[in-house]
Amino acid sequence: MTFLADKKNKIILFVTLIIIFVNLWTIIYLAPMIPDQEWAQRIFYYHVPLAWNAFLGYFGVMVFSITYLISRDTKWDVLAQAAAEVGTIFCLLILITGPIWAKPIWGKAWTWEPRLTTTLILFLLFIGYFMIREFGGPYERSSRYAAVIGILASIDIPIIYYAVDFWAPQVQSHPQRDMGGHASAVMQVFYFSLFTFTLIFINMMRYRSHVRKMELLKLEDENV
Amino acid sequence: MFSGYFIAVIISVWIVVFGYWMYVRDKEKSI
Repeated sequence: MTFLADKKNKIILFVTLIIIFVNLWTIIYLAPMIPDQEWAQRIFYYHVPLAWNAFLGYFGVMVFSITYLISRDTKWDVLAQAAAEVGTIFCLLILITGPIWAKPIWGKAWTWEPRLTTTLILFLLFIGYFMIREFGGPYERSSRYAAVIGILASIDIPIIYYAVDFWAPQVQSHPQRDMGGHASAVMQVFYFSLFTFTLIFINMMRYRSHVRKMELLKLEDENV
Repeated sequence: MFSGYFIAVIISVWIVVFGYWMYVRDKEKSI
C-alpha cells in the first residue's frame, strides 16, 4: 500500500500544507520589521527551525542507533536511516540558508567560525554515514557500521550547540543562543514556524520510514 | 518590497524539501 493511500497520512499532509502557507503568511505580514536587518532578518524564521529539526533528526539517529545495536530489531534501523536522511536534508538547508542571510548582514557568505565549521563537519560526517550504508556490504553489517557512525557523529551536536560558549567571543560572528531579548511578536511567529517545520519533519520521517519498511519487506520476500 | 535574499531562501528550501519528497516517492514507486 502506498503512503498516501492511507487516509490518515493524506489528512496529516493536507493539514501540514495549509499550515505551511499560513506560516509563510505570518512571516511576511505579521512579523515585525527589525530596523537593522529588514527582510534579511525574516530568513531566521526559516533558518532556526530548520536547525532545530536537523538536530532533532540527528538526536533521533543516536537514540534509534543505540536501540538498534542493543535489540538488533530492524524497525529501529529503519527509523535511524529515515532520521539521518531527513536530518541531513535539513542540515543541507541550514548550510544553504545561513550563507544567504550572512551575505547581506556580514558582507560575506561564509566565515570559518566555530559554529559554521562544526555544522559543516556534521553534514560531512553524515555523508560518510550514507556511504557506509550504500557500500558497507551485506545489510546486517552495513547497518551495524552505520549505527556506530551515527552515534559517534551525534557527539558533534552538543559541540555545535555550545560552540558559542566553547570558543572565545571574538572568534564568533554568530548570534548567541539566548532569544529571550526578542519582542513577543517575533517569538510568536518564530514558535509557529518551529511548529510548522516540526510537522514537515514528522511527515518526511513517516514517509521515508514507510518506504524503507516496504523495501525491506520486498527484499525479504525475494530471499525467501 | 521583498528582499531577493528572503525570496532565495523560500525558493531554495521548498525546492530541496519537494525534491526529497519526490526522491522518496520514486523509491516507493519502484517497489
